[in-house]
Amino acid sequence: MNEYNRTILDLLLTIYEKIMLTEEEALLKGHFSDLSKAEMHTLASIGPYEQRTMGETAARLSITTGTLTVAVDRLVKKKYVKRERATNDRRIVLLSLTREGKIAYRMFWKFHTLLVDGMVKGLNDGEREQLLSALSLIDRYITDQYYKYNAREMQTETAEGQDTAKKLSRRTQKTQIKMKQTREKTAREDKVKEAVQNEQAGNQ
Amino acid sequence: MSKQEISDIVIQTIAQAAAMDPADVKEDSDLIADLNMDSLAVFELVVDLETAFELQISDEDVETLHTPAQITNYIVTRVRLN
Repeated sequence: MNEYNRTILDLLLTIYEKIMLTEEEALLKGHFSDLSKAEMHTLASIGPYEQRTMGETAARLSITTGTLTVAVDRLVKKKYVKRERATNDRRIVLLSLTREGKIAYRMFWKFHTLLVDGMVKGLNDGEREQLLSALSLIDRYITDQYYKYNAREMQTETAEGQDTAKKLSRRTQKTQIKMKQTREKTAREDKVKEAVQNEQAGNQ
Repeated sequence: MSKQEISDIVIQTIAQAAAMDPADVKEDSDLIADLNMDSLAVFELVVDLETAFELQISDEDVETLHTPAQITNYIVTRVRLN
């Protein structure tokens, strides 16, 4: 492995590891220190406004419903999650967040927003756009590799999982278009400003 | 629901989240600078407002709401749009 590849790999692994550690530390020091990182991710996968089935939530987290049941038991006990039976089919268990769960979800989301704000703070618009393109290319490649090595998973992948990947791809494209539009608008405004300044200079 | 009724609920909900008397919450009080609300109290307020008015309030919108008057106007607009 050459030095460039080695550095890229080290950076990717270190960034991932540090994000996870920062998340954990922030949780421990915050108001929701009784929640583990995995429990917080479970709250995030249920979402603040939805009622989700156990199957849907497990698929979003890529865990089995058995593992999820243990996590949900704890979250119900801590009063972050409500568990109820569907009125039209009593066999279906529906999960939703309690008031405390929704507040924790909002705080968790805010933490990530601030984290990303901080990460891109030193970048100009062009660099932000390049970062987005590079990350989405990496994501696409890694997703392909994952399915190459895990063909069984690809065949059994749930509609939920496919939907999440499509949503991410659509959101990336939308963000790229929006950034391009902003860049073009700024360029047009700069041109108008320049023309006005030239005209004023001509009049003088 | 009239604007006054919405304003009353907003003031009541803010007072609860800020742990203070509703009479001390003025229309132009800044949630953070005047009412000493931290981010946790602001999120408690947002979640309670969502429940009271059956709305979804995005984080982007939360960033623009600083006073009870702004929150009332925002909810009046959203309730009418719904």
